[in-house]
Amino acid sequence: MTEGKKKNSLFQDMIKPVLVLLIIAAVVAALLAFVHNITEPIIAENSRIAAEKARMEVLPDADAFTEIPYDEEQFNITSAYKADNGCGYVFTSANKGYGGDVVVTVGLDGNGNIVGIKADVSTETSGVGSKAGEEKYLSLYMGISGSDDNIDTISGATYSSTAVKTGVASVLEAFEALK
Amino acid sequence: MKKSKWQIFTNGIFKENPVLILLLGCCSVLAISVTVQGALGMGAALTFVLVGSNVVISLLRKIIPDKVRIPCFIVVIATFVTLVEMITEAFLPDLYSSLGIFLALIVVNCIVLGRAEMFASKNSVGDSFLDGLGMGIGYTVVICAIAVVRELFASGTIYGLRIIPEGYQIGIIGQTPGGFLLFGVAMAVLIYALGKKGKKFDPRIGCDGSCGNCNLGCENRIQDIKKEEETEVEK
Repeated sequence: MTEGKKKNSLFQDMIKPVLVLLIIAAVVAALLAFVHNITEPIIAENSRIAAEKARMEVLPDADAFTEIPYDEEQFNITSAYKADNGCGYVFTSANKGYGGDVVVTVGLDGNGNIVGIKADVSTETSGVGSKAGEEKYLSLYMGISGSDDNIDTISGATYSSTAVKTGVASVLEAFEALK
Repeated sequence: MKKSKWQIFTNGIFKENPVLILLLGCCSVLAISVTVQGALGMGAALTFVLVGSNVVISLLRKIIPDKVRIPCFIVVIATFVTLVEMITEAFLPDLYSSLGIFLALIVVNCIVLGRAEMFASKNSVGDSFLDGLGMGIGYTVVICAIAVVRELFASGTIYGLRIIPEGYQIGIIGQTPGGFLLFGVAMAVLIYALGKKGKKFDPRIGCDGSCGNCNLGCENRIQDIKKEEETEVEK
């Protein structure tokens, strides 16, 4: 009698909790795997479209893009694309700003002049560092090429605008080598 | 005294508002209430998780052994959060990027775990559903109300529509200190509105007397402890 009770309490105390937790975890894992299978291709497609759109924004004349292979050690860029219709190139570069990485996306025409530029400043202080991502500042970079170094950083937003500046310089350097 | 279904539902919106009376989940309220759009999305996501986890935990309340209830709750809650995350990322990518880390952080949002522990694990499925819905709406109303004010003064817009011309904004309202200020004001307004004529609202009504789960050293609790001490001395 006592033996049976003891066994029973061992089951209640030690085994049942483990089993219940195990079963719950197994069921939800299966459920999540199922949903993940459905959403994964959509998410991948979304990010591909978003990236394509971002490239289109800085190089509106392009129709589609092909990736250019490059040496990741040699250049400080995160992606390099060539427009299929030959109207130019789109390079991106990520550099440390004040709050995190500032990603600049630069569109270049066939001669290496900047025709469009975007900077993702979502990691920077809103209203301060975010000035480095505004049209007013970025428009200073339009049309420059080669190793043009005459653009000032923004006082008060030095970290953020330096990240933009470094990004542009890296892109131009990579362009010279990869075009 | 058993509460009616309607009372269970409205409880979360007024008397036991999770944010302003129970003071749970304040972190996401302060962080996400900068734009109305983000606040609505966050409110909807939290309501979904809350309703889902309340229902499932209520269904499993007789199966889950007491010893492992917290891990079980967390597993269920994390499942719903991950579902919301995957679905918003796939179908509402803009909302997903505006909520950022706070979507994943719903897992540790004290409202969800608090309701699982205090309500869903003790009540029927229907009641738990209503409680989750009420609490979720209570959260959404508060975060949206704060967001309307913050967006209006900090960006001059409401839901993206410009109302105050550019250049006349009060930046600090959109930043952390402004969030705290408005949070305090919202709390005062709700407590004032809930007070009866000539009588101040007593937020203790919101507690079900389970002092074990509570860390606010309220009068009742101190009295309880004193009483216990007295009976012990008597013994």
